[in-house]
Amino acid sequence: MRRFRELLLWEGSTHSIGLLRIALGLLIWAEYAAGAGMYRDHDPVRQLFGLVLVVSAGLMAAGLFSRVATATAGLCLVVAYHYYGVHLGMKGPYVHAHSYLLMMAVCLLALMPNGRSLSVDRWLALQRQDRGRRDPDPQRGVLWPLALIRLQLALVYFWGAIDKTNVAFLSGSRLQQIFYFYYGSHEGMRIPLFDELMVVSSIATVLLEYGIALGMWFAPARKWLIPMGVLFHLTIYVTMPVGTFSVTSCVLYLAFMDPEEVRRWLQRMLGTGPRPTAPPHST
Amino acid sequence: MTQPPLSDGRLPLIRALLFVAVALWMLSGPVYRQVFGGESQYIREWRMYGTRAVRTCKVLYEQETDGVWTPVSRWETEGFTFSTFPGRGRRMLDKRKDAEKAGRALCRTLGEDTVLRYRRRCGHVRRGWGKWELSEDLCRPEPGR
Repeated sequence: MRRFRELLLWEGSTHSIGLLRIALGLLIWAEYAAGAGMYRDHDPVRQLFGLVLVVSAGLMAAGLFSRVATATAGLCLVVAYHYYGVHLGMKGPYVHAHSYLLMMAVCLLALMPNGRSLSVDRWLALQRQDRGRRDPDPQRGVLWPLALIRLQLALVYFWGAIDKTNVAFLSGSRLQQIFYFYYGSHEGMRIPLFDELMVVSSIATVLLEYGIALGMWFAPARKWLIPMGVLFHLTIYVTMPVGTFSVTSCVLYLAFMDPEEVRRWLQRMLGTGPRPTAPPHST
Repeated sequence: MTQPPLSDGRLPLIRALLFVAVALWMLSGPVYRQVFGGESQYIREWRMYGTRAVRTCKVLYEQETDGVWTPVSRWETEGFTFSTFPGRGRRMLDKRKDAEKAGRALCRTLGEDTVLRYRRRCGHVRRGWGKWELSEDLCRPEPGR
């Protein structure tokens, strides 16, 4: 109970959620902006819907009216997935694992003060301060929804791994079929040892997915799991049609990083924070 | 630098309820869909690529010469190349009748007296590759033709 209470009262730097806001705003654009063009659909309600989604995602990325923009974008994604996608049956553009993951992440991000860092809102607040009005909000805030973003991502990997824990996947047969389908023919792939490579890849995939689901909660394991996860997602991004799933997953790794560490890293990169003193050279 | 906390330290009840509700929603979705087989699309399951390439079949042609079966590559016989990558309908032979039709086309290319069969197995999402099945001679004229 004490841990739960601490989690709910978790406060920290808002730099990492600022980064998340920018990346998720851009991801909404990558996923939906092309399809939301008004010339694509002449239904006025859907035209308005597309416009609101694209504008709110743009404001999100820029960090202008950040929290309202994030909440609006999140609401649009809920409507897109559940109403247009599931209820009206427009599954093609809306009902996918990656669109659901994006929706959940944006909705949870809206529960945090995501505009306090790395945003136009921050810049405007500093302008107001310069004019002697009021001080900007501190670049700190409640971060408990980050824990839910972590949970969501861990569940994606865990249940994805559970789904693959069967003879078809672990024997390499599913990956063989998928690669024949996209790159080969009914004769298979004309690459030596390809089928054996698929067996190894399948087992490694399942192990990595369980590893990320369970290991990302521990800081020492994260150092290894994040680069491995990024490499894994890059591989599937360039070899299979996965939409924005790979990039969304990699972006959400940010939620697992310590917000204070992200702040220190950013400040160091921008040259605004204290530099660690170099150890003296031994002579 | 230690900063003063923004909250007064009391347990925020609404926050706690929201946290538990969202966490339960996330946890229950895959259990409902993947364990209990629920079908409501409003709730998300986490199956990747469960619907792609689900009926892919591997089909290998073999020609009989003096009692010995040797492989025949349709890819090479038909002159497929990676620079002129054929469409999926021509590349893949996932239905039995497509494999038979492609086999008969091979017979015409290889000559009238050829004895040709296919060795075919198909994939299943949960069970993996099925058993190999062998066809009859595909070059034998069909009855009634």
